[in-house]
Amino acid sequence: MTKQIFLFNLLLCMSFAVHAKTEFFVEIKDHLFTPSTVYVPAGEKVKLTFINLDDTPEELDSFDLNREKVVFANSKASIYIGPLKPGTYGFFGEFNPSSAVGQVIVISKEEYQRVNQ
Amino acid sequence: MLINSVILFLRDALPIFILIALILSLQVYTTRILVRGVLLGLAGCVLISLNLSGLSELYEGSGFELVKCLLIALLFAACSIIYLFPTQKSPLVNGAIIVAIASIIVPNASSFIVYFAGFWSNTSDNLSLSLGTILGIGISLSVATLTYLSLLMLRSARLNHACLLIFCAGQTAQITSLLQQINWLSGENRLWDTSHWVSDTSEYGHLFNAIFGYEATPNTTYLIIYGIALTLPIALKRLLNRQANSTLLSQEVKL
Repeated sequence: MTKQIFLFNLLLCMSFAVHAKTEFFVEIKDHLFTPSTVYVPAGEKVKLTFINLDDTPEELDSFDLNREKVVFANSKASIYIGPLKPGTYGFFGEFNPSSAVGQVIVISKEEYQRVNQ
Repeated sequence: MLINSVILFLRDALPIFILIALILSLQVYTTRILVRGVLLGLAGCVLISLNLSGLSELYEGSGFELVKCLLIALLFAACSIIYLFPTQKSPLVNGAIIVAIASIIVPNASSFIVYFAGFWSNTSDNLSLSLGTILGIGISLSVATLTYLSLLMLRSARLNHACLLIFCAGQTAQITSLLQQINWLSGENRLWDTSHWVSDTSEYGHLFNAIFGYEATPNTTYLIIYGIALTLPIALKRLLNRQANSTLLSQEVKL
Protein backbone atom coordinates (compact mmCIF):
# COMPACT_ATOMS: atom_id res chain seq x y z
CA MET A 1 0.00 0.00 0.00
CA THR A 2 2.82 2.40 0.97
CA LYS A 3 4.54 1.66 -2.32
CA GLN A 4 1.38 2.38 -4.30
CA ILE A 5 0.82 5.72 -2.54
CA PHE A 6 4.45 6.65 -3.15
CA LEU A 7 4.23 5.86 -6.89
CA PHE A 8 0.96 7.76 -7.23
CA ASN A 9 2.46 10.83 -5.52
CA LEU A 10 5.57 10.64 -7.69
CA LEU A 11 3.51 10.54 -10.89
CA LEU A 12 1.40 13.43 -9.66
CA CYS A 13 4.52 15.51 -8.99
CA MET A 14 6.04 14.74 -12.37
CA SER A 15 2.90 15.69 -14.27
CA PHE A 16 2.98 19.26 -13.05
CA ALA A 17 5.68 20.70 -15.36
CA VAL A 18 4.33 23.38 -17.67
CA HIS A 19 5.66 25.62 -20.41
CA ALA A 20 5.84 29.33 -19.70
CA LYS A 21 4.67 31.30 -22.71
CA THR A 22 5.78 34.84 -22.00
CA GLU A 23 9.39 35.90 -21.63
CA PHE A 24 10.57 39.21 -20.19
CA PHE A 25 14.11 40.58 -20.47
CA VAL A 26 15.94 42.67 -17.91
CA GLU A 27 19.42 44.07 -18.58
CA ILE A 28 22.01 44.57 -15.87
CA LYS A 29 24.31 47.45 -16.76
CA ASP A 30 26.42 49.55 -14.38
CA HIS A 31 24.81 47.54 -11.54
CA LEU A 32 21.32 48.76 -12.47
CA PHE A 33 18.33 46.79 -13.74
CA THR A 34 16.80 48.06 -16.99
CA PRO A 35 13.83 48.11 -16.95
CA SER A 36 13.66 48.23 -13.18
CA THR A 37 9.92 47.52 -13.26
CA VAL A 38 8.50 44.57 -15.13
CA TYR A 39 4.74 44.23 -15.63
CA VAL A 40 3.54 40.63 -15.84
CA PRO A 41 0.04 39.16 -16.11
CA ALA A 42 -1.57 37.58 -13.05
CA GLY A 43 -2.19 33.83 -12.94
CA GLU A 44 0.44 32.98 -15.55
CA LYS A 45 3.85 31.43 -15.32
CA VAL A 46 6.41 33.68 -17.02
CA LYS A 47 10.12 33.55 -17.81
CA LEU A 48 12.38 36.35 -16.60
CA THR A 49 15.73 36.52 -18.39
CA PHE A 50 18.50 38.66 -16.94
CA ILE A 51 21.26 39.77 -19.31
CA ASN A 52 24.36 40.90 -17.45
CA LEU A 53 26.31 43.42 -19.53
CA ASP A 54 28.73 44.20 -16.69
CA ASP A 55 32.17 42.66 -16.27
CA THR A 56 31.28 41.47 -12.77
CA PRO A 57 28.76 38.82 -11.69
CA GLU A 58 25.50 39.68 -10.00
CA GLU A 59 23.33 37.49 -7.82
CA LEU A 60 19.66 38.08 -8.35
CA ASP A 61 17.64 37.57 -5.20
CA SER A 62 14.00 37.97 -4.34
CA PHE A 63 12.54 37.14 -0.96
CA ASP A 64 9.05 37.96 -2.31
CA LEU A 65 9.35 35.58 -5.26
CA ASN A 66 11.49 32.98 -3.42
CA ARG A 67 14.08 33.02 -6.19
CA GLU A 68 17.89 33.19 -6.22
CA LYS A 69 20.14 33.02 -9.26
CA VAL A 70 23.72 34.02 -10.07
CA VAL A 71 24.11 35.89 -13.37
CA PHE A 72 27.76 35.74 -14.37
CA ALA A 73 29.63 38.58 -16.11
CA ASN A 74 28.61 39.10 -19.76
CA SER A 75 26.15 36.23 -19.72
CA LYS A 76 22.46 35.64 -19.14
CA ALA A 77 20.35 33.56 -16.78
CA SER A 78 16.64 32.83 -16.60
CA ILE A 79 14.17 32.10 -13.85
CA TYR A 80 10.52 31.16 -14.01
CA ILE A 81 8.03 32.89 -11.75
CA GLY A 82 4.34 32.57 -11.07
CA PRO A 83 1.48 32.11 -11.44
CA LEU A 84 1.22 35.14 -9.14
CA LYS A 85 -1.55 37.19 -7.60
CA PRO A 86 -1.73 40.91 -8.49
CA GLY A 87 0.75 42.89 -6.42
CA THR A 88 4.32 44.12 -6.25
CA TYR A 89 7.21 41.68 -5.82
CA GLY A 90 10.65 43.16 -5.25
CA PHE A 91 14.01 41.80 -6.38
CA PHE A 92 17.56 43.03 -5.91
CA GLY A 93 21.16 42.30 -6.82
CA GLU A 94 22.89 40.86 -3.78
CA PHE A 95 26.26 42.31 -4.74
CA ASN A 96 24.93 45.82 -5.33
CA PRO A 97 21.82 46.02 -3.17
CA SER A 98 21.75 49.82 -3.04
CA SER A 99 21.71 50.30 -6.83
CA ALA A 100 20.50 47.02 -8.35
CA VAL A 101 16.86 47.13 -7.25
CA GLY A 102 13.83 46.16 -9.29
CA GLN A 103 10.26 45.02 -8.99
CA VAL A 104 7.80 42.78 -10.72
CA ILE A 105 4.33 44.28 -10.80
CA VAL A 106 1.65 41.69 -11.37
CA ILE A 107 -1.49 43.09 -12.98
CA SER A 108 -4.74 41.44 -14.00
CA LYS A 109 -4.83 39.73 -17.40
CA GLU A 110 -7.35 42.30 -18.72
CA GLU A 111 -5.17 45.20 -17.66
CA TYR A 112 -2.10 43.50 -19.12
CA GLN A 113 -3.81 43.00 -22.46
CA ARG A 114 -5.02 46.62 -22.47
CA VAL A 115 -1.48 47.92 -21.78
CA ASN A 116 0.05 45.75 -24.51
CA GLN A 117 -2.50 46.58 -27.24
CA MET B 1 21.69 46.04 3.50
CA LEU B 2 22.22 44.95 7.09
CA ILE B 3 18.86 43.20 7.29
CA ASN B 4 19.47 41.56 3.89
CA SER B 5 22.75 40.09 5.17
CA VAL B 6 21.03 38.78 8.29
CA ILE B 7 18.20 37.23 6.27
CA LEU B 8 20.61 35.69 3.75
CA PHE B 9 22.61 34.23 6.62
CA LEU B 10 19.47 32.84 8.24
CA ARG B 11 18.35 31.31 4.96
CA ASP B 12 21.70 29.77 4.01
CA ALA B 13 23.52 29.02 7.27
CA LEU B 14 20.80 28.34 9.82
CA PRO B 15 19.84 24.90 8.37
CA ILE B 16 23.49 23.77 8.75
CA PHE B 17 23.58 24.79 12.41
CA ILE B 18 20.21 23.17 13.15
CA LEU B 19 21.12 19.85 11.52
CA ILE B 20 24.39 19.67 13.49
CA ALA B 21 22.45 20.46 16.71
CA LEU B 22 19.88 17.74 15.94
CA ILE B 23 22.55 15.12 15.22
CA LEU B 24 24.53 16.10 18.34
CA SER B 25 21.38 15.83 20.47
CA LEU B 26 21.03 12.15 19.51
CA GLN B 27 24.21 11.68 21.64
CA VAL B 28 25.32 8.58 19.80
CA TYR B 29 27.86 9.91 17.36
CA THR B 30 31.39 11.13 17.93
CA THR B 31 32.61 14.64 17.20
CA ARG B 32 35.15 13.12 14.80
CA ILE B 33 32.34 11.98 12.49
CA LEU B 34 30.76 15.45 12.58
CA VAL B 35 34.12 17.10 11.82
CA ARG B 36 34.58 14.75 8.85
CA GLY B 37 31.16 15.79 7.55
CA VAL B 38 31.99 19.48 7.92
CA LEU B 39 35.37 19.04 6.18
CA LEU B 40 33.81 17.07 3.32
CA GLY B 41 31.12 19.73 3.00
CA LEU B 42 33.66 22.56 2.90
CA ALA B 43 35.74 20.71 0.28
CA GLY B 44 32.64 20.14 -1.88
CA CYS B 45 31.64 23.74 -1.39
CA VAL B 46 35.01 25.05 -2.64
CA LEU B 47 34.83 22.67 -5.60
CA ILE B 48 31.32 23.83 -6.53
CA SER B 49 32.20 27.52 -6.07
CA LEU B 50 35.21 27.21 -8.38
CA ASN B 51 33.10 25.54 -11.09
CA LEU B 52 29.84 27.38 -10.51
CA SER B 53 29.96 29.28 -13.80
CA GLY B 54 30.28 26.11 -15.90
CA LEU B 55 27.87 24.22 -13.69
CA SER B 56 25.19 26.90 -14.03
CA GLU B 57 25.39 26.69 -17.83
CA LEU B 58 24.49 22.97 -17.89
CA TYR B 59 20.96 21.87 -18.88
CA GLU B 60 20.02 25.24 -20.36
CA GLY B 61 21.09 27.17 -17.28
CA SER B 62 19.53 24.77 -14.77
CA GLY B 63 22.74 22.99 -13.71
CA PHE B 64 23.17 24.49 -10.23
CA GLU B 65 19.49 24.01 -9.34
CA LEU B 66 19.71 20.35 -10.36
CA VAL B 67 22.88 19.84 -8.31
CA LYS B 68 21.08 21.40 -5.32
CA CYS B 69 18.14 19.02 -5.85
CA LEU B 70 20.54 16.07 -5.95
CA LEU B 71 22.19 17.19 -2.71
CA ILE B 72 18.78 17.61 -1.05
CA ALA B 73 17.88 14.06 -2.15
CA LEU B 74 21.16 12.86 -0.59
CA LEU B 75 20.30 14.73 2.62
CA PHE B 76 16.91 13.03 2.72
CA ALA B 77 18.44 9.58 2.19
CA ALA B 78 21.11 10.19 4.84
CA CYS B 79 18.64 11.53 7.43
CA SER B 80 16.35 8.56 6.75
CA ILE B 81 19.24 6.15 7.49
CA ILE B 82 20.03 8.05 10.73
CA TYR B 83 16.32 7.81 11.68
CA LEU B 84 16.11 4.10 10.82
CA PHE B 85 19.21 3.10 12.80
CA PRO B 86 19.53 5.79 15.49
CA THR B 87 21.53 3.81 18.05
CA GLN B 88 23.88 1.98 15.72
CA LYS B 89 27.49 3.02 15.19
CA SER B 90 27.86 1.06 11.97
CA PRO B 91 29.88 2.35 8.99
CA LEU B 92 26.55 2.87 7.16
CA VAL B 93 25.20 5.23 9.83
CA ASN B 94 28.53 7.03 10.26
CA GLY B 95 28.66 7.47 6.49
CA ALA B 96 25.06 8.77 6.51
CA ILE B 97 25.98 11.42 9.10
CA ILE B 98 28.98 12.56 7.06
CA VAL B 99 26.84 12.70 3.88
CA ALA B 100 23.97 14.52 5.67
CA ILE B 101 26.25 17.25 7.01
CA ALA B 102 28.21 17.58 3.76
CA SER B 103 25.08 17.67 1.59
CA ILE B 104 23.57 20.50 3.62
CA ILE B 105 26.82 22.48 3.75
CA VAL B 106 27.65 22.31 0.02
CA PRO B 107 24.66 24.16 -1.52
CA ASN B 108 24.18 26.62 1.33
CA ALA B 109 27.81 27.53 1.89
CA SER B 110 28.64 27.75 -1.83
CA SER B 111 25.84 30.34 -2.23
CA PHE B 112 27.41 32.20 0.64
CA ILE B 113 30.93 32.06 -0.81
CA VAL B 114 29.66 33.53 -4.12
CA TYR B 115 27.83 36.19 -2.13
CA PHE B 116 30.87 37.12 -0.05
CA ALA B 117 33.29 37.08 -2.99
CA GLY B 118 30.98 39.09 -5.22
CA PHE B 119 29.93 41.54 -2.56
CA TRP B 120 33.42 42.28 -1.27
CA SER B 121 34.81 42.81 -4.77
CA ASN B 122 31.94 45.08 -5.84
CA THR B 123 31.02 47.33 -3.00
CA SER B 124 32.48 49.42 -0.24
CA ASP B 125 29.60 48.74 2.18
CA ASN B 126 31.58 46.10 4.04
CA LEU B 127 30.50 47.26 7.50
CA SER B 128 26.88 46.22 6.88
CA LEU B 129 28.01 42.86 5.56
CA SER B 130 30.32 42.26 8.53
CA LEU B 131 27.62 43.30 11.03
CA GLY B 132 25.01 41.23 9.21
CA THR B 133 27.31 38.20 9.26
CA ILE B 134 28.05 38.59 12.98
CA LEU B 135 24.32 38.95 13.75
CA GLY B 136 23.51 36.00 11.48
CA ILE B 137 26.14 33.79 13.16
CA GLY B 138 24.82 34.90 16.59
CA ILE B 139 21.20 34.07 15.74
CA SER B 140 22.10 30.74 14.10
CA LEU B 141 24.30 29.70 17.04
CA SER B 142 21.61 30.73 19.53
CA VAL B 143 18.87 28.77 17.71
CA ALA B 144 21.13 25.72 17.37
CA THR B 145 22.20 25.85 21.04
CA LEU B 146 18.59 26.29 22.18
CA THR B 147 17.50 23.34 20.05
CA TYR B 148 20.36 21.17 21.33
CA LEU B 149 19.85 22.05 25.02
CA SER B 150 16.04 21.75 24.83
CA LEU B 151 16.29 18.29 23.29
CA LEU B 152 18.88 17.24 25.89
CA MET B 153 16.68 18.46 28.74
CA LEU B 154 13.56 16.74 27.42
CA ARG B 155 15.49 13.45 27.00
CA SER B 156 13.01 11.97 24.60
CA ALA B 157 14.42 9.86 21.79
CA ARG B 158 11.05 10.03 20.01
CA LEU B 159 11.05 13.82 20.10
CA ASN B 160 14.65 13.90 18.79
CA HIS B 161 13.70 11.65 15.91
CA ALA B 162 10.52 13.61 15.18
CA CYS B 163 12.51 16.86 15.06
CA LEU B 164 15.05 15.28 12.71
CA LEU B 165 12.26 14.01 10.44
CA ILE B 166 10.39 17.34 10.38
CA PHE B 167 13.60 19.27 9.68
CA CYS B 168 14.52 16.83 6.92
CA ALA B 169 11.02 17.02 5.37
CA GLY B 170 11.20 20.83 5.38
CA GLN B 171 14.57 20.77 3.62
CA THR B 172 13.44 18.12 1.13
CA ALA B 173 10.36 20.14 0.20
CA GLN B 174 12.70 22.99 -0.90
CA ILE B 175 13.16 20.93 -4.06
CA THR B 176 9.78 22.31 -5.15
CA SER B 177 10.89 25.95 -5.46
CA LEU B 178 14.13 24.89 -7.18
CA LEU B 179 12.22 22.87 -9.78
CA GLN B 180 9.69 25.69 -10.21
CA GLN B 181 12.53 28.14 -10.80
CA ILE B 182 13.75 26.05 -13.77
CA ASN B 183 10.21 25.24 -14.95
CA TRP B 184 10.32 21.53 -14.18
CA LEU B 185 7.29 22.03 -11.95
CA SER B 186 4.41 24.47 -12.09
CA GLY B 187 3.75 26.85 -9.21
CA GLU B 188 -0.02 26.52 -9.37
CA ASN B 189 -2.60 25.32 -6.83
CA ARG B 190 -1.68 27.49 -3.88
CA LEU B 191 -3.61 25.81 -1.11
CA TRP B 192 -3.70 28.57 1.52
CA ASP B 193 -2.12 31.87 2.40
CA THR B 194 -0.85 32.53 5.93
CA SER B 195 1.40 35.44 4.95
CA HIS B 196 -0.77 37.83 7.02
CA TRP B 197 0.37 35.89 10.10
CA VAL B 198 3.95 35.04 9.21
CA SER B 199 5.23 36.21 5.86
CA ASP B 200 7.83 34.14 4.00
CA THR B 201 9.92 37.28 3.62
CA SER B 202 10.00 38.15 7.34
CA GLU B 203 12.75 37.09 9.73
CA TYR B 204 10.34 34.66 11.42
CA GLY B 205 9.36 33.29 8.01
CA HIS B 206 12.98 32.47 7.21
CA LEU B 207 13.54 31.06 10.70
CA PHE B 208 10.50 28.77 10.50
CA ASN B 209 11.40 27.80 6.96
CA ALA B 210 14.84 26.65 8.13
CA ILE B 211 13.43 24.77 11.14
CA PHE B 212 10.40 22.99 9.67
CA GLY B 213 10.04 24.16 6.06
CA TYR B 214 7.39 26.81 6.69
CA GLU B 215 5.74 28.17 3.52
CA ALA B 216 3.03 30.83 3.72
CA THR B 217 1.55 29.81 0.36
CA PRO B 218 2.33 26.14 -0.22
CA ASN B 219 1.09 24.37 -3.32
CA THR B 220 0.04 20.75 -3.79
CA THR B 221 3.47 19.60 -4.96
CA TYR B 222 5.14 21.15 -1.92
CA LEU B 223 2.78 19.34 0.44
CA ILE B 224 3.13 16.04 -1.43
CA ILE B 225 6.94 16.16 -1.28
CA TYR B 226 6.78 17.24 2.38
CA GLY B 227 4.37 14.41 3.13
CA ILE B 228 6.47 11.79 1.35
CA ALA B 229 9.65 12.98 3.08
CA LEU B 230 7.90 12.82 6.45
CA THR B 231 6.06 9.52 6.10
CA LEU B 232 8.38 7.38 3.98
CA PRO B 233 11.06 6.91 6.71
CA ILE B 234 8.29 6.11 9.25
CA ALA B 235 6.77 3.51 6.90
CA LEU B 236 10.21 1.99 6.27
CA LYS B 237 10.93 1.80 10.01
CA ARG B 238 7.63 0.03 10.65
CA LEU B 239 8.40 -2.38 7.84
CA LEU B 240 11.86 -3.11 9.25
CA ASN B 241 10.45 -3.59 12.76
CA ARG B 242 7.79 -5.97 11.45
CA GLN B 243 10.39 -8.00 9.56
CA ALA B 244 12.65 -8.12 12.61
CA ASN B 245 9.73 -9.27 14.79
CA SER B 246 8.70 -12.00 12.35
CA THR B 247 12.31 -13.22 12.10
CA LEU B 248 12.53 -13.34 15.90
CA LEU B 249 9.24 -15.19 16.11
CA SER B 250 10.27 -17.78 13.53
CA GLN B 251 13.56 -18.35 15.41
CA GLU B 252 11.64 -18.87 18.66
CA VAL B 253 9.32 -21.34 16.94
CA LYS B 254 12.33 -23.31 15.64
CA LEU B 255 13.81 -23.42 19.13
